[in-house]
Amino acid sequence: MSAETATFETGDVLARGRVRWLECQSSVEAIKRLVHGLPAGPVSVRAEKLQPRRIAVALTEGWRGEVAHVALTNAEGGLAAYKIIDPSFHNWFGLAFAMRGNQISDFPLCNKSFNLSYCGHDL
Amino acid sequence: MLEILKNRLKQGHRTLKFPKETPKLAERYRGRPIIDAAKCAADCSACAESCPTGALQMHPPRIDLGACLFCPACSSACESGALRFGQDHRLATRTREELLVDGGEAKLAAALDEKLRKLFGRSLKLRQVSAGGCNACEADLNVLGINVFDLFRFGIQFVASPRHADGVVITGPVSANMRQALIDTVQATPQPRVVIAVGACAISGGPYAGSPEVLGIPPEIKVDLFLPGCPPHPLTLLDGLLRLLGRIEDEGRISSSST
Ligand code: SF4
Ligand code: SF4
Repeated sequence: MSAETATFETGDVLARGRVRWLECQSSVEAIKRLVHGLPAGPVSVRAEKLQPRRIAVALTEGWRGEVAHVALTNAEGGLAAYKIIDPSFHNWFGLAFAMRGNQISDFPLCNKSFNLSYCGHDL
Repeated sequence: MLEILKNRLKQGHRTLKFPKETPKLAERYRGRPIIDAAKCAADCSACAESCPTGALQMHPPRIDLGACLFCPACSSACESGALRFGQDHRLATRTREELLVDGGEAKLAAALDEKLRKLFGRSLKLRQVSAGGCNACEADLNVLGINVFDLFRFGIQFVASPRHADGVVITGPVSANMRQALIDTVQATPQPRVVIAVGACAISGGPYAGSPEVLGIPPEIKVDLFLPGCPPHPLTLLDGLLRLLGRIEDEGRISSSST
């Protein structure tokens, strides 16, 4: 499936607002397209027994962007580790960069224009 | 500018009349489970077998709301109609034990004692600690600040430091890396203080229970209010907070027949 990448030149709060607006619009378009091509079959299925000693990586689309899931199985086919990284994990560095040379009073506005998740970073 | 004003007028006000009036929730909302043990077949445990968190205890069927994800694998697995989810958003309790629902009469969270009510009844400042939560409980706490629920009209607010707070709201299963930060935050909150556990994770470990990284709320932190759900509906949160402050005055009990 193709989707247009939303970009805006100025790199400020307004730009992030505009990018989000453009992304909303292309998401609505994408949903409309996808809804008409849903595959047949049950909505959920029970997980089968997992293969032992494997690594599985999956990328899914979350509302802040790409979410990466990584699962490792042990010798018995049980889960040995499961890690989820959400886009905020990378983008906090972007916020730190955007804040350089700015006044502290600008922080709340800049921070919320990124709207990153605080969850999942101290785990 | 004119467009904005026009839009505002058209939209009208959005603040709910809660708690005087409870809005009708979406049909697919899953609130307090309704259990009819008489319908439950003695040789069936389909619901308990399907439960991802072990929240279901059998014969008679009982759901530990503190571990329940409201997913609802159990009610889908139940063929005899003994188990379904109703529309009642009132789920808050003051003790862990009271979260066990068997379909009989249930006691809702009672108010704080008079001294604490006097202190916090009209102004309760809370510090939120996300101790490994998935961001959904946090998002539903956050949404209390919008004009629909308008938490601030009750004098309840989230603050940026435990030093400014009257209580701590805990979300997440308390991961090893967040344990000390949580303890420090609670200790930095002046006494008397209240501690509120929000979501299946904070109450029981939720979907993460059993992981070696998940330690749970340390036993030395006494929880005053349990708000179950995964995540809890904002109305469940608001109802619980207002009950704690003694600002919802009803009988505080519900029977199984209520939906
Ligand atoms: S709804 Fe709750 S009790 Fe039922 S299967 Fe899901 S987690 Fe278990
Ligand atoms: S209880 Fe559910 S919604 Fe809340 S933090 Fe845990 S997994 Fe997320």
